[in-house]
Amino acid sequence: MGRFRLLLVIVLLLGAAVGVAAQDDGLVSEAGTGEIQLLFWNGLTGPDGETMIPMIEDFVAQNPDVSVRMERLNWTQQYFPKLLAGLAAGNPPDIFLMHEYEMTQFNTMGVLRDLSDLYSNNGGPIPIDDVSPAIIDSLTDPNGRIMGVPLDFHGYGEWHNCDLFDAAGVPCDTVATTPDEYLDLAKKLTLDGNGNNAHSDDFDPDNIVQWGTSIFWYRPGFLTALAQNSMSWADDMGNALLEDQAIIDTMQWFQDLECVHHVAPPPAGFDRYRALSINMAIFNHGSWAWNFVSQNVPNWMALPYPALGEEGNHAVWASAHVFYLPIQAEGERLEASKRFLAYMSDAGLDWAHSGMPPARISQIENMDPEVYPSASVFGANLLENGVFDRQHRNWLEIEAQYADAMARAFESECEVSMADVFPEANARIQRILDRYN
Amino acid sequence: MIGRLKQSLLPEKKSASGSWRTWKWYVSNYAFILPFMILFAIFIFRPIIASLQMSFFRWEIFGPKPFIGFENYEELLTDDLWWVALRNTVYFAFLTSALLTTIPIFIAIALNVPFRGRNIFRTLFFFPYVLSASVVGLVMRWLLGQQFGIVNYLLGAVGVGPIPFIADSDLVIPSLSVITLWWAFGFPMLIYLAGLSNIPQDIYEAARIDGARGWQMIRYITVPLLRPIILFVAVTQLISHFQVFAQPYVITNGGPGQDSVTVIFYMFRAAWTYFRMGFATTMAVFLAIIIMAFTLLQFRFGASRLEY
Repeated sequence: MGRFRLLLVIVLLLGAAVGVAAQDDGLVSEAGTGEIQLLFWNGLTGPDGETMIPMIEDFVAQNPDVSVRMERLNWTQQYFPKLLAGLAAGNPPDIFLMHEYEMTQFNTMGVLRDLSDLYSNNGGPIPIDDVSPAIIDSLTDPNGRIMGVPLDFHGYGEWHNCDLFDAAGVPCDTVATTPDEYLDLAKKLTLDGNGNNAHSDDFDPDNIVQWGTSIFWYRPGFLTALAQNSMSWADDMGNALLEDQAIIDTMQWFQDLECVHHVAPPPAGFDRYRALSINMAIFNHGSWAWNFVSQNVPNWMALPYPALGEEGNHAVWASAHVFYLPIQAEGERLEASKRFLAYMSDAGLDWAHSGMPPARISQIENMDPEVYPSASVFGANLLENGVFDRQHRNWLEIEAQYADAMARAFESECEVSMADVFPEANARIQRILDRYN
Repeated sequence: MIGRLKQSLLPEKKSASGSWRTWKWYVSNYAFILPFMILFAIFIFRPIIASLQMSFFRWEIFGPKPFIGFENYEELLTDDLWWVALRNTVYFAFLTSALLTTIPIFIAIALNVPFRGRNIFRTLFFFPYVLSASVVGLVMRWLLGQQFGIVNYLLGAVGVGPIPFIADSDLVIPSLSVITLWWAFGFPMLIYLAGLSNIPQDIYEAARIDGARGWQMIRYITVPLLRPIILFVAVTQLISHFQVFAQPYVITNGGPGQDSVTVIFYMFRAAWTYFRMGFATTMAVFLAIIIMAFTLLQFRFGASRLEY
């Protein structure tokens, strides 16, 4: 029994060691030795977070009285529970990063600090005329207060794998201008193991070696499709609109790319999607995919998302990472936090190395395509055509409903259609909207 | 000796000074359990009452918290996702509990027989149990991934697959169950080992003299005499797996679609993603009632008096 106990102790220690090793994910970084210690939380767990580290190091080098501890957490699973708990307990980070679409929800809770004084119209250091008006609008509450400072202006686009375009005999810069053209292009780009494309009578859909296109990460694609057809998931009167046949038909067209035309693979989780993207001629994703694409695809090209809705409607889903400060912020830490935000706003071109276009107009316009081959393309398009999602005090709950509905359809191996899931999602969204009317 | 011990532990019959001694006896005994009772009241009882109370309010951490009566309960009963989550949870809980109640019996019996290296095997079987849920989740995601998972790589080498263990609607719950079997196996095994050590060897010897052999002894002696232990394991496993959270949270995030959304997963989402604490506690109340009902059923049909 003695030996058993000894073995048990060893096992417990080993288990603890394994646990510690697995949880030490290296997503905490500290910079500077200044006495004013700032805690900065964000969800930049991808390669973009690595770009933030040297930016913070530069900030503390220029502000030696400040040190910054950055903690990066998974957006959906860890970040919001931890942030909410911190805010509720009165112990939030000094600075936290979210998106513009979460502003209304958190502002309704009364946890955000008014940051209007950081903008030039109130004597602050950030030139308000140089920030995209769409972003400023999205960060302005009904009382006219600007509640955040944008870090970037990211959004949706297309990545072309030029080697796969070459294999299909199609020029890499080919862009469809209508849904029919897009389907035609996707069919030309989809090849089976015998070299036949999806137009061919001999095409074998069970032996596809190269996919023409991809079913997107659902939310950006969904919101882009709605915007290009001048539609929305709700109207200003508080009515959910997902039962609208036009919306169902629009989304069914995308599902048919997989289920009817066999030009897009079935989506099944983000990791698999990224893996398959290597075999996708058109990889529909956002500006944030820069690190992944540039490291995994030898010859690629970034292009604005095509107009697949109303004729000439080039609207594309846009978003922004935004710095917020908690309402409790005060004293020297508040002052240091404001310095940090102003610095980050000025450093948009450094952040653009992550692939994210900057939030400042002058920075977007001055991006050298040689240095920023994707961010310059996406930034220019977003500045002109970017459309933000509708905000709501329960946005996170609403978004989960339409995202879940699409996941159920897209991940059903073609057994569930959009008509099967959207009415239920619509009822759930309507219930959320009614709750606060 | 035992008589004297009993005398010192039990209050004496009432006499002139009896009431004082009885009172003192009760006080001293309650003093022993007081620390536990205080912690229980603060960390268990109070939250239970608070949860029940919150379920009648639109409780969203920040802002006003209006009383809404049974609105949360009405909403829950008409919420499709709740029923999906409950169905997934019941499926997972019964499948996993069945696996974890039966398979460890046979492993424990095998590991109860003296042989060289027995303790090493006991330790190896127990080892996964000390791992945290997140470690198990991450490891299993790497192992079972469809594109890069080691399991599918090995299956591919022999011309099988790839099998979407955690990406297929029909496979995801059984896959999570098997993962949980591997992970939680150690605890029931340890309980069974303790139960086996309490079965008197005389019974086996008598059976052996009467000509009983291996399987007969397991079937007619070991399993019947382990019945209270089996009931304990079955009840604790069912209670535990009704509260499954970490596996879908870390491995599948409720997917594909909603096929691995469980009650606690949905509850967590309602509380910490939607910030709807009142609605989330309504689910907790329902889940507690459901678990209580199944536990009572288990006791009703599984319990039996046993003396040997």
